[in-house]
Amino acid sequence: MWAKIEVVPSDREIIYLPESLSTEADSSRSIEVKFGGKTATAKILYTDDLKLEKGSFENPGKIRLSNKLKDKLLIPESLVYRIVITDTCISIGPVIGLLLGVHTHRYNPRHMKKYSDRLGIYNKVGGLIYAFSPKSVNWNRNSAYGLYYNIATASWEYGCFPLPDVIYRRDFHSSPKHIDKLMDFTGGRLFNSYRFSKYQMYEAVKQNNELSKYLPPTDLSLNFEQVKKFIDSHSKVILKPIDLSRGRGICIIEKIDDAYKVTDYRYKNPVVSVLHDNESLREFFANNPNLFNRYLIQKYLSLARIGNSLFDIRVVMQKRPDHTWGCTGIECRVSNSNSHLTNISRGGYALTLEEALYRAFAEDCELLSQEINEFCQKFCSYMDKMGEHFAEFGMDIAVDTEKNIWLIEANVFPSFKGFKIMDRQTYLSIRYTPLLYALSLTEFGDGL
Amino acid sequence: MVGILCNAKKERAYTKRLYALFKPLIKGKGISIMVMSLGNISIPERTAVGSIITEDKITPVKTALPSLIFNFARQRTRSDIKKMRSLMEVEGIRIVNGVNQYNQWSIMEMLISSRKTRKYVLPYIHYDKEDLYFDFTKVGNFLVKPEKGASPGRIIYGRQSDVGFDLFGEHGSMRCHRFDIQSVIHPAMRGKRWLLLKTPDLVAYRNRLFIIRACLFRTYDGEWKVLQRTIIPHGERVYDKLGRKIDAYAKRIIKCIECYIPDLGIGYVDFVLDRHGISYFLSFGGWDSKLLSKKQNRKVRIALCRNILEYAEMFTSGQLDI
Repeated sequence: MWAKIEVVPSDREIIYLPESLSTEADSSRSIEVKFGGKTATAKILYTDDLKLEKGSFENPGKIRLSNKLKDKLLIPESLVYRIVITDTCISIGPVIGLLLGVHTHRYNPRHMKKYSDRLGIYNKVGGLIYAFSPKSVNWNRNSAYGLYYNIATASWEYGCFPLPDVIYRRDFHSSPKHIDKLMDFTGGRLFNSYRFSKYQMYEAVKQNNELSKYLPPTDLSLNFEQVKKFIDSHSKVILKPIDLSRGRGICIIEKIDDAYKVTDYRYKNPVVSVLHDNESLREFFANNPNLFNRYLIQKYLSLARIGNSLFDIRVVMQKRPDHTWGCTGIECRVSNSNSHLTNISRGGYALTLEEALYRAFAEDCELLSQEINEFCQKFCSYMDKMGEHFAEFGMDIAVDTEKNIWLIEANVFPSFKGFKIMDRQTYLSIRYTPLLYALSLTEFGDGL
Repeated sequence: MVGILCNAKKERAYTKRLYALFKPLIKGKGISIMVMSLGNISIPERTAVGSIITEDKITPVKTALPSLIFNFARQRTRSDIKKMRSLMEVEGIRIVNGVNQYNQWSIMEMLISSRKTRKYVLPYIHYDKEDLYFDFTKVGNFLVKPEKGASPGRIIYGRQSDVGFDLFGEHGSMRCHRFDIQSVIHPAMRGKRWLLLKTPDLVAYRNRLFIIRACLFRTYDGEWKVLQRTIIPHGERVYDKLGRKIDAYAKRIIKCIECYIPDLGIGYVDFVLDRHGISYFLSFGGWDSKLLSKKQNRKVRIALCRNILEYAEMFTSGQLDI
C-alpha cells in the first residue's frame, strides 16, 4: 500500500487509519509502528476521512500521525511511503541508506546531486532514501544525521533519520568496526560490504580452479630481482598500484633484446624511455622505489585491437530484485591509438560489445559474447561465497588476439562514464538496479 | 601524546607559544604535546617529524603519529587538502577539526533543517557575479559573502538609502548609486561562488559591519563552552545580557553543525545584529588562529590548552570512542 503522511498535533503517540481497516476487536488498541530502525507503540484511531488501498506512488492513500509519534519515528512528512500492516505491526518505509565516507564536511546538497539520477526510479521505490556517514550515527538512538532526497522539491536536504532497513555502501574508507556494526544492525542487509584490492581479488579468484584460468600471470611487486625475473619470463609487463583505479599510476615495461622500454603513465603525459641494459633497469627501480610499495606486476597481454587501438570490456554485473546476478550493461572501451590505457578518463572512448568484437575480428562473435557472460555469472556466484554481501561488480575483461578472455580486474565501486555517453537508458538502468535490489531486501519489496 | 597540526610557517612560533602555555599544565601528568605540520607527516609510514613539548623542554623528533591530533591549520593547496583527507582516513587516529574552513551555504542548509536554529538564518540565495542586471533594490538591505570560508574581511553589507546603498566592507564604508553597485562590489569578490543574504537594517560600528564572534570548544564530555566573544575586527569584549544571548545562540548553532560534522572540537560563530538587537548567524569557522596570538588574553589561551589536555586524558584512558 502506498500512502502519504499527514501530521496532527497531539502529545500522545497516535496513528490514524481509515475506518475501513477497523474490526470490532480493534477498538482502542495499541500497535507497534516501525520506521527503519525506529519502533514506537501507538494507539490506533480510526477515522472515515482517510483512505488506504493498494494505491500507487501517483495515487497514494493517506494516514495520519500525531506529531509526537512522527518526532519519535523521525519520519519526514513530504515523502510517499509504502505501508505494510500485520496484526501486530504497521511498517512504514522503506528506509534505504547510502553509506558515505568519513569526510562529513563535504556531504552537502551539491555533493549529493550526483546521486539524483538514481532517484528517477523513486516512484517504484518510495519511502526515505538518505545518505549518511558512519561518523554521524547515534547508536544510542538508532539514528543518523544525513541528507535525504525530498521528492517534493527534487533536492537533498539535511535531517535526522532512523537507521536504515538496507544500506548501499558508497565509500570504502570507513572503519571496518563501523561497517560490522551497521552490518549487524541491518541483519546483513548492507551491500557492497567490502572492496577487494586488485591483489586480494586476484588471490581470491586464484583459489577457484575454473576461474583461475582467466587470470593473467600476476604477482606482487616486491623487489628488483623478482620483478626483473617476471619481466624476463613474460617479455612485457604492466605494473599497477593495488589501490588506485582509472589508469592512475600505471607503468609498462617491455623487454626488447637486451634493452627495456618503459612507458610510464604516472605522469600527466606518459613518459617513454629506453633503458639499454640491466643496470639501467636497476637504476630505474632504485629511483622509483614506490613501484615496490603496494604495486602488482602482471603479464601484459597481447590484446585484440581495433585498428591501432587496444580495447577492453567493462561488464556491469548487478543483483536484480529477484536476487540473481544479471548483466545490466556491457561496453567496450577503446584506447587512443597511441595509448595503452583504455580508461575513458584517460582519453578512451566507448563502443558496444558487438561493434567492438566485429571491428576487432571482422566476424560475428556471438560465442565469445556468450563466454564472457557465462564467465561473469560464474565469477559473481563465486564471490557470493566469500562471506560478504555483494550486489554490484564492474568487471574489466580483455580479449587477446587468440580470442581468449582474461579477467583484468573486478571492482565493487565501478564508474559508468562510458554508458552515460553511449547509452543513457542503460546508464540509468545501472543506476536504478541497486535501489530496486535494496527495496527487494525489505518487507516492502514483495511483487517487484 | 597529543598532536597539534599547524601550518609549516607557524610551526616554530606555535611550538614556542604552546610550550609556554602547556609547561605548567602538563607537569606531573606524563602527557607530551607534539607540534607538526602536514608536510612533515608520512602517512604510509605513520610517522611525523616535529617538536615534542614535555614539561621541561622542546625536543625535535621523528616519531609515530599521535593517535589524537588537533588540527590548528587551514589546508589551502590541493595537495594539502588531499593529504589531509588521507590522514582523516587512517584507522586508529582521531583528528579533531579535520577541516577548519567550511562551505557557508552547507552550514546554512544545516541550520535551516533544524527548528531550533533556523530562526538565526537570514534568507539567502546564490549570487551570480555574471548577472550584471541583478537589481539590488528589490532585495533591500543585503549582505554578500563568499560561499567558502568565514573571513569577515570579505563580507560586504549594503544598506539601502535614498539614492542607492551605503556599502560597508573591509576598508570602511562608502555611498554608492544603485546603478553602480555591481561595479563597486564585483572587484572585491574573488572566488567562484557567492551568497546574497537579505537582511534587516544591521548595526554598523566604526564604519564597519558590527560582527560578534563567539569562540567555542567542546569539552571531553561533549558539552560546548564559550571560550570568549569579541567584536570583529577590533577585539573588544562583549559583556552582559547580549553576551549571554550570543553564548546561548552560538551553542545551539554549533550543536546543530556538530550533528553533521562530528569531528568538531573548536569553532567560532559570527553574528550580526539588527537595530533591535536581534542576532543573526553570519558565518561559521573551525580553528581561529587569533586564539593563540600573543595579543590574546592569557586566560583564554590557558583555558584552551587545559581543555586539550582534559580531552587527551579521557582519550588516552579509552573513555572517548574513536
